[in-house]
Amino acid sequence: MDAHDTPLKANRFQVLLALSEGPLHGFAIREVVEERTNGGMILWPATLYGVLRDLAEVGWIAELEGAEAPDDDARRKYYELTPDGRGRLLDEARRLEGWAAAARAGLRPEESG
Amino acid sequence: MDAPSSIHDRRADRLRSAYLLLGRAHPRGFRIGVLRAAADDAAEAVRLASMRRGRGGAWAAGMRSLIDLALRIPAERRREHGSSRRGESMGNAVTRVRRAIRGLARRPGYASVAVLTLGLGIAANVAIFAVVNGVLLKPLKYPDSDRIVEVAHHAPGLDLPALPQSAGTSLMYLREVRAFSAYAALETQGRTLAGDPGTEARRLTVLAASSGFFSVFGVRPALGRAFVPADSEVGAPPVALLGHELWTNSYGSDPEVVGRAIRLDGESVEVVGVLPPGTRLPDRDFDAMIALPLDPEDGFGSFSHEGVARLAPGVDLESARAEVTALQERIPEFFPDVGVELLDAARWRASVTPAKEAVVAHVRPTLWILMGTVAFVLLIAAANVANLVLVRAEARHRETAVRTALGAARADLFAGFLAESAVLSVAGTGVGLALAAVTLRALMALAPDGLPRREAIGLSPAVFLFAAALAVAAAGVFALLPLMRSRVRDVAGALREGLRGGTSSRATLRARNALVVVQLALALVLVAGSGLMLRSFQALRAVDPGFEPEGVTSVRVSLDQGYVEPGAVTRFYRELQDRVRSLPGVQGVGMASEVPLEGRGRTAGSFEVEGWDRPDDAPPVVAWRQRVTPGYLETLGIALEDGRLPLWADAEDRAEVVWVTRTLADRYIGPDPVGRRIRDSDESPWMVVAGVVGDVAMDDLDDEPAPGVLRLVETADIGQPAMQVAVLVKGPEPAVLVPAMRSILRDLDPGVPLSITESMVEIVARDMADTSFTALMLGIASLLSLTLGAVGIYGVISYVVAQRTRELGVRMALGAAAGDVRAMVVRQGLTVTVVGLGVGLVAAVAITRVLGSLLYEVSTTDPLVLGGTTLLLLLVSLAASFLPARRASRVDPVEALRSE
Repeated sequence: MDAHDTPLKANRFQVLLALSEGPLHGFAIREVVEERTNGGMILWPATLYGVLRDLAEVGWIAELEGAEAPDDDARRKYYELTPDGRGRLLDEARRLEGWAAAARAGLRPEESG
Repeated sequence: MDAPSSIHDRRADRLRSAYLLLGRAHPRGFRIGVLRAAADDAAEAVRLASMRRGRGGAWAAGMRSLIDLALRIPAERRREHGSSRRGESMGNAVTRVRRAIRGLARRPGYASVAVLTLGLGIAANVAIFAVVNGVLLKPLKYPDSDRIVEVAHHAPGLDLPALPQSAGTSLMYLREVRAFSAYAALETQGRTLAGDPGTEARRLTVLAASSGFFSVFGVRPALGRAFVPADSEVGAPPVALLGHELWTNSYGSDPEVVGRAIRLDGESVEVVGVLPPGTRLPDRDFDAMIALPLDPEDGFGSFSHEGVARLAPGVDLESARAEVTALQERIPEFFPDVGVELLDAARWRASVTPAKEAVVAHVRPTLWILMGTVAFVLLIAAANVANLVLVRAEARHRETAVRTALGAARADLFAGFLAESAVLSVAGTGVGLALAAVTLRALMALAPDGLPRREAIGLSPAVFLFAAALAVAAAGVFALLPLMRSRVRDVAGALREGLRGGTSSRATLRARNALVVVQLALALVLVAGSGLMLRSFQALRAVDPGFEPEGVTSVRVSLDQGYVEPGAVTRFYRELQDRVRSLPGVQGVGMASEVPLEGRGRTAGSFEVEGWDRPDDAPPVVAWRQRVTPGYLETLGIALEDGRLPLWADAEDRAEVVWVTRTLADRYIGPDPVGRRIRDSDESPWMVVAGVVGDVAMDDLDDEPAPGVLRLVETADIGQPAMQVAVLVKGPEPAVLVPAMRSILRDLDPGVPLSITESMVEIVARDMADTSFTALMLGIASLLSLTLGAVGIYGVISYVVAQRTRELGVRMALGAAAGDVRAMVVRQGLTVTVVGLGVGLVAAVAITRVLGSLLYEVSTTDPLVLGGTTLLLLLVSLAASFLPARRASRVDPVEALRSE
């Protein structure tokens, strides 16, 4: 699993981003990501659930208990962002912002420890 | 478009099952934690796609999901086994292969025997497959070659195998058949190309063709123009196209040659073009092309050329056949002189055959039989390797058991065995391919001249693919074998055994005995098959061809159109024959228009005997015809059974005398044939039978004797004299004879070229080539299988003996005689042998039937062959059991008991 200062894998970033607006189940996460990337990223089930498992293992997302599930579909597993996960997402967003700003300015930012 | 919802559900369910099945390849953690949820989502995705985009959408979504699942396997495995020992997972193939190579290198004997055995089997298969692929499977090298067909006629009622086309029938097909987009009449001829002054005349193979040739075969001239229909009309100026090679070699690739005249057989012919390189007919090459004249006045005419056609777009073979067949009904309306009765009596029919089929049909059975034969050899080789692998598995039984006890998954064990098998198979295939390249060269050198499409034979990508398939199959099988051995329930037993010397488990011994039975049975089938072919070959050699080929050389000469005045041809031949006769060492000279067994086609025609009152509707009787000079019968040693020999006086008087064969005389003339008269037809003069000669095999040694008529080279009223003859000379070697004949010809007429020179012994050998080639191939295959089979039996028996050393020692310590022990071991070998031979005999009787069409005067259940084969294999297995038996009887009891 990656540390906070290394880039986050694109598909993990997208999953965290999808969950930042509220709990979702797997299939909905895939649809949100597909829509947000204009079809550029489609998370097929084996990859998606592998990512969800990994993110849950490091504690950045958590499975909702059945009672809290927003949907009437009891079979579906819902996931929500944990505070840790939200922090990681923000770190990554800032990092990307830095690169984007540097790209706009046409020079690399100074590496800050 | 909106399908019932159940369709979408069914598609989703099907995908879910496939998904869960593929998911089994994942490690346990993934299966428990992720697989079910992923499968549900994948099914949901398919259901949605099915509803939105129909079957195609569902299919695409399903495939994408499955591919995604498969691609995750290595990563998930790494994740799961990340902490376990290096190389313990499926993902680490490289490590496994390396380990397998190291393991095999530690046992070079085992490895090299296995690789070589497998290599031999694969080499034989790849080499024969290269031939099968080139000859039977590859399409012909023409654009859309599968649309090219051959059109022929059959008249079994006339005792003729196949009739080609006449000018009349060709014109009929050209004009009437809608199913053909193009039709061409073709005839290969020999023509003499007059050289420039000072150079020798050359004999060319010339293709006479109508203009359709270019459309049928998709050929466009490299220079100049193609033929047009007008070139085939009567009285059209003769035109030619040069073949690329002839143009390069004889005309220095001069483009100015187009429009120039060349002399063929003394006739001036205008060159109108040059063909592109590599232009050939499916079954033969030619040097140049001339326009084939088609004269509508010829009527039904004489059948002299082949018909080929290209199917029109959208027309299939069946409808072309139907149209051509229907056209036969209308023959009497095109050719008023041909009656329906005659066609019925001749059982006349037309055939439309794909061109490739027409070229390769006669070798198909032989090639598939050879393919089957080498497949047997491969099976025997594989059985040997399997035996080796089993021995090895036995040795590693304890290791396997320990690893199973320590919790190694069966898949991991399998991966280990698979790596080892893969290394063996790849190495074996490599050796096999190298050997195959050599074998193929040898095959091509041995293959009979009659093998069509030799140019297409080679190690092509398809052949490599075939070799790869063999390798993969072998690797899979060899890897599974030891797994059967490593049942988990054996663990305790194996661990116990491992502490002692260990005896072979019953299951392994059974498996190995079964392998030997299979080997013996296969070997018996092969050896029996080659025995049958050998018997056929012997029988063919024993056939009396009706002439004595030893010491006779055949040299072809051809005259050009200059010999027109009556008697000129005879004078030339007599002069030539006299001069050759006076060469040193010549014991006999004679000439004939056709040489027996030469296989260059022959002339045949109908005849009638004086005093016959044949009913009008009976089919005409047909005899082969030959033109000869005095001296022909004596030179070839053909028997004169009645009457007198031909004389030069007959030829010079152009007397109407003929000689008939024994079969013709007995079948159609009756007693006292000499002095009776026969003629070709109502329009031709009667000719007196001056003698009866012994039957001669003209076409094939294994044909029934056919009626034949021999005439002199020149007769008064019967068509053209023979302008091409073979000069048959008994005595001198060809190397001496040919130069001498050249100088004689230069003296007599420099425009007369010598062409094909062959010894009659070669000609006879060529006629038997198919049989001898098949016999040779089967012989080599049987020898291989015998050797491999013997090695297999030896291996099993000696292994059993080694396993039972202790027991045998005990027996001998308790007073068993060495002889008894030997007998006991040999008995064991014999039991397996007898079962194998029994199975083999049943299989042989069933399988050798496919040889039926290739056999001559021998039954597929020939007791001598089957008995001899069985005995041979029995002796081989006895010998293979004897060595281990001897070793067993020398076991030192004390040594054997020490380990107890």
